[in-house]
Amino acid sequence: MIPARITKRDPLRAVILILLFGAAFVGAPVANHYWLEILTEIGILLIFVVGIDFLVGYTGLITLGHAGFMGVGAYSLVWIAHIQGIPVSIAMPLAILAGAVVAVIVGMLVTRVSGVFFIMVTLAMSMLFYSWAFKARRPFGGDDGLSVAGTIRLDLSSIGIDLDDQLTFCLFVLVIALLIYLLFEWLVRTPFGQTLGAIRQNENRVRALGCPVGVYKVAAFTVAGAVAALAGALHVQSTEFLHPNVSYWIKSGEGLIIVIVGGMGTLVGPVIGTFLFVLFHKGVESLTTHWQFWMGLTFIVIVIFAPDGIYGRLRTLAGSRKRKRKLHQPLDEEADVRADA
Amino acid sequence: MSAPMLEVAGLRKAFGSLIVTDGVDLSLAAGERAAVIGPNGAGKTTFFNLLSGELKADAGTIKLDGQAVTALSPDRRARAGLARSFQKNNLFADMTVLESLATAILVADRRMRVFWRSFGRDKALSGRAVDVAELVGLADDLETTVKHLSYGTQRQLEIGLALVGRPKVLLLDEPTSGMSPEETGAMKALIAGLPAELTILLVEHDMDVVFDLAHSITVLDYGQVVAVGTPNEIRQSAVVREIYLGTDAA
Repeated sequence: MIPARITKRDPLRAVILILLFGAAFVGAPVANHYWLEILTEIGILLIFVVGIDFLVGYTGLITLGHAGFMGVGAYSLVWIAHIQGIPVSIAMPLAILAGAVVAVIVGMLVTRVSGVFFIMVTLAMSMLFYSWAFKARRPFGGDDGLSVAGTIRLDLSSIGIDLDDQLTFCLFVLVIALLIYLLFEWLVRTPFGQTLGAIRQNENRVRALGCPVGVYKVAAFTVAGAVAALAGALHVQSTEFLHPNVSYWIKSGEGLIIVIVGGMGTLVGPVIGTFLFVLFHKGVESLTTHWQFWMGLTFIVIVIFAPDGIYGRLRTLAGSRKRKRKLHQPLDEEADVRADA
Repeated sequence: MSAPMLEVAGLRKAFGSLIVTDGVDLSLAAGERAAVIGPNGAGKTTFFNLLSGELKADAGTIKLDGQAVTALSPDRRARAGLARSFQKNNLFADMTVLESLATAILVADRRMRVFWRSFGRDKALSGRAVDVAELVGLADDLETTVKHLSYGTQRQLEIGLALVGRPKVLLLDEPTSGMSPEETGAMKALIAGLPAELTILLVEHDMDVVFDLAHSITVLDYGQVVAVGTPNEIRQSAVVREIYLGTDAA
């Protein structure tokens, strides 16, 4: 008998997604300035983070330099739109394209190594960008940054959308974040995504089956790089201020932590992680200046008690409830398997 | 007689000053079942890796169905029809048996770049995965996660993964290593039951397995071919007895 599906359904993720995005979309219209800023930040960070999960959790490429591509997106957009004066509607796709092109080149270099070396090389690459941006006084203002107010927001007035309105911009970012999430959710369920997952689990086997593994690693790196450039382009539109910190390694590290804490290789886990990270950050920041200390402590606790991340823990809890209901069936799978062999 | 399916001529590999494969010749007809044996350190694994492409030969040629594959990478050799199993289980530990086979089939079909269709709902793909599972006796374990399979069953899957690309030549690296006698028997039956047109080259320690399955046996020692023959000839060869089976064996 041929099973109906090769992979199992995971209805829990749809529930969580609807709850989180539902809360954001419902909350935004009644939110004040402060909360709109938070929601916008969540949306942008989310785009960045699901890209990292695609690389780390699905393809097995643990990057500590992904913020470099946010930098490429932000600086490209500012250069093309603010400095060259080209409309943002053209500059934005070009900024994303720049992220993709840089990711192809960097990807071809960094995928030659693996493991710890991959982590270090991606870190080094992003810091190369950061140190260039830090010194680039002209035209980007170097470490003083550059105010780009009034020239950097996408103009959608032709279709009746005013992105200078804070609520509209926030909703715009959230919609893009949702679309990017769905894009990755789709990608990982296709043969392409399945191949990446197989590469993570056993690269040699995939190669022995006839797959040019390196090409697929670069492809994954490129998709994630382009998406991070999009996040960077949105970030600079949101803050209307360009600063090298957008590409700083701590950004990459935060992204990685969110992915790990949320649940690597689940996409929805990092979405949970993003909401918690930003809300926790803002909440603790208002109480104490040592917010990073408390954040770190919380993450250590989470990693100890939920080694598969928050979503992994949720799934185990939901799964164990289901198993308890099935417990009356005296089925010892392993014994069966042994008898067969 | 038709051209050989796999033809190896003058294959040579040295690690520094140590020559581990020294002018090895080998020729397999289509559908032939052959084995390479030899004592520990004879260079069997190196020879195997030279064939599969994990190692590059210093000299010599490898022809697959008339096509030179000596310079090709492992993935391109696989695409040319040369499949291999691994000595240690080399599987997708977190996938189910069904998912593993379906994944292997899509890679073998060169459909990795397809990003516009669903993988999980591909009925044709799961149908073919089930066919392969039946071929290697895994039809009852489709939904089992690979890491929960017993060792012997994992070895069966190992062969199944090598078969998905409908290879012309299957290289089996010690398919019964680490198996219990019952598991070895089952694996022997499985290999014997593979399609007759498939050319198989075994690298194996277990003499019973080799003598039962192989039509021809090549004996390696210190990287050189010391004997080639039918199982009977090899059994009676004084040279082979001395270097491999020990002088007492008869």
